[in-house]
Amino acid sequence: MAVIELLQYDFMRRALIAALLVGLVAPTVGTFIVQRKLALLGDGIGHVALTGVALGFLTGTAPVLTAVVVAILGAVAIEIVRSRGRTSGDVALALLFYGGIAGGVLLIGLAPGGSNATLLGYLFGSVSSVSVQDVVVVAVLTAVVLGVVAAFGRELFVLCQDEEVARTYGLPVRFLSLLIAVTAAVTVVIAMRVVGLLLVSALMVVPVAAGQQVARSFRGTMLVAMGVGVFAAVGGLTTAFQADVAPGAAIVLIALGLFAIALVAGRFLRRRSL
Amino acid sequence: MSDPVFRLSEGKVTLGGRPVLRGVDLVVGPGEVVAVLGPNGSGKSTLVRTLLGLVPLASGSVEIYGRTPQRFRDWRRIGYVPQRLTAGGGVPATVREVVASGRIARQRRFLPASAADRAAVRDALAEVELADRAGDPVQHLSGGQQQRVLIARALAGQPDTYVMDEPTAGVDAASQQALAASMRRVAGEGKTVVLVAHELGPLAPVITRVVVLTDGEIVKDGPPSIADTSQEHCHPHESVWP
Ligand SMILES: Nc1ncnc2c1ncn2[C@@H]1O[C@H](COP(=O)(O)OP(=O)(O)OP(=O)(O)O)[C@@H](O)[C@H]1O
Ligand SMILES: [Mg+2]
Repeated sequence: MAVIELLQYDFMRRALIAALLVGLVAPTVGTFIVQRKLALLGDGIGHVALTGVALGFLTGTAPVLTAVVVAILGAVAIEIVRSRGRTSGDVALALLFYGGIAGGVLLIGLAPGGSNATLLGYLFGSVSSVSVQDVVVVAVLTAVVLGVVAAFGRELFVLCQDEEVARTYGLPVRFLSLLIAVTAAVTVVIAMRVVGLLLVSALMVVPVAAGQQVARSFRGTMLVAMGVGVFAAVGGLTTAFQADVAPGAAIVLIALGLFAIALVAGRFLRRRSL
Repeated sequence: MSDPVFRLSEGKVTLGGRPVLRGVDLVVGPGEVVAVLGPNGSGKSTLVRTLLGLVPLASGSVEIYGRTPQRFRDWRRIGYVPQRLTAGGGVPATVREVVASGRIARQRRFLPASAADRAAVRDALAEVELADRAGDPVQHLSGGQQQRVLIARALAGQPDTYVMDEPTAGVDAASQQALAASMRRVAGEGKTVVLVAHELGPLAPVITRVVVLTDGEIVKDGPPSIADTSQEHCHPHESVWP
């Protein structure tokens, strides 16, 4: 059955647009994050965002809004800890993981009528319940993230290669580091509805890992990763609808499958080029 | 107008609780070609990184073209070659991508690479004899070739001052000759060079001044001839590469 047939359903149209945008934007940001050795940053932010979601329910604000704010604060905190280099980075991330989950569960319990079940849609994604307004928010945020990459891509490339060298080019290293962290936070919240906070990071990292296997250049890696991301997101959503499985899981498993194919293809390409 | 390129005054640097530079005074004037020599761990890398404002001073002061690193703005005048290529998270980058990034201080946001950018990258790649590898990932190159990529990145930026941390490390004799030729060319154009080395080798004729560092202190500073009488492994006519 083709994607076309699914388009007759309104909710599916909205879900497909959201998935497409997320599949495009998550690996774009992911390429910089992987090169900076911050592959787990997305996970850390995702956990913190859960506190933001619960805060939204508690205060009667839109959870996406509070999630963005809290995720950005968390990302900035991670970046500050990382750049100070005092506590080791992965311990700092771990602290955020625990704090984020615990905070989320605690706060949702305090919210009127809230329970852990309320959080499930955010933890595992609930793309079929995406509203028109959600799609608009996702589209705007996607445009913002892609705009940042278009405007600062060259500088971010240098930063991710070597921070000291970036400094000797007079680049605003602190600003650019925060820009990456904040962009990652926004991306996590965009992807939250589609794949869920627990799997957000997979969509930022797995397509990049696939790109690394077959591409020779940074730009090429990013393009392959975007292709993998879009294919996995749209393919996963369609499969999930037909087979009645969870969309977030289907998307991530397809991305992993594509990674496995890229791994084999990369071996083959390298052997031929020798 | 006649500010020195670098002025480090009584520079003290402490890393991990240990004093690494113990009050170093160094003034580098325009057009000088300075070689920093000294044994492993003597603080050579720390010294050049301090000159660039990359390492915080415990005390003392540093100026680049008369301004503190925080206030210095004209970074296109500086070309830094770090001791090694950092691997990062392993996202591939081609030789051309890395060398082209050396133009960043001369590029404007949103504008694509100009004809001048492309010409500078092409010339730099040719100068280090890596034009035929331009499309290869740097990760696939040997250590010596990666060193040449870093040199090409600095050359592509067409700076007034080169700061090179062991540009000859792991580089074969022919490439050292090529680097010496490049340095002779840039020195002839009046550029300034500060380079860290373990031996002068083919670079010897280009060097105008030698600074010998031992245990975080400058123990010798003078014409290249002083290198002859310093420690064994600074001997300019003797190849001691492992
Ligand atoms: N980040 C750091 N933390 C603690 N100690 C450091 C740090 N970086 C350097 N050091 C110490 O400072 C000293 C000088 O290091 P530096 O890298 O400047 O030496 P070097 O002369 O460049 O050596 P090499 O010839 O091996 O490149 C060494 O003893 C080193 O252990
Ligand atoms: Mg060194």
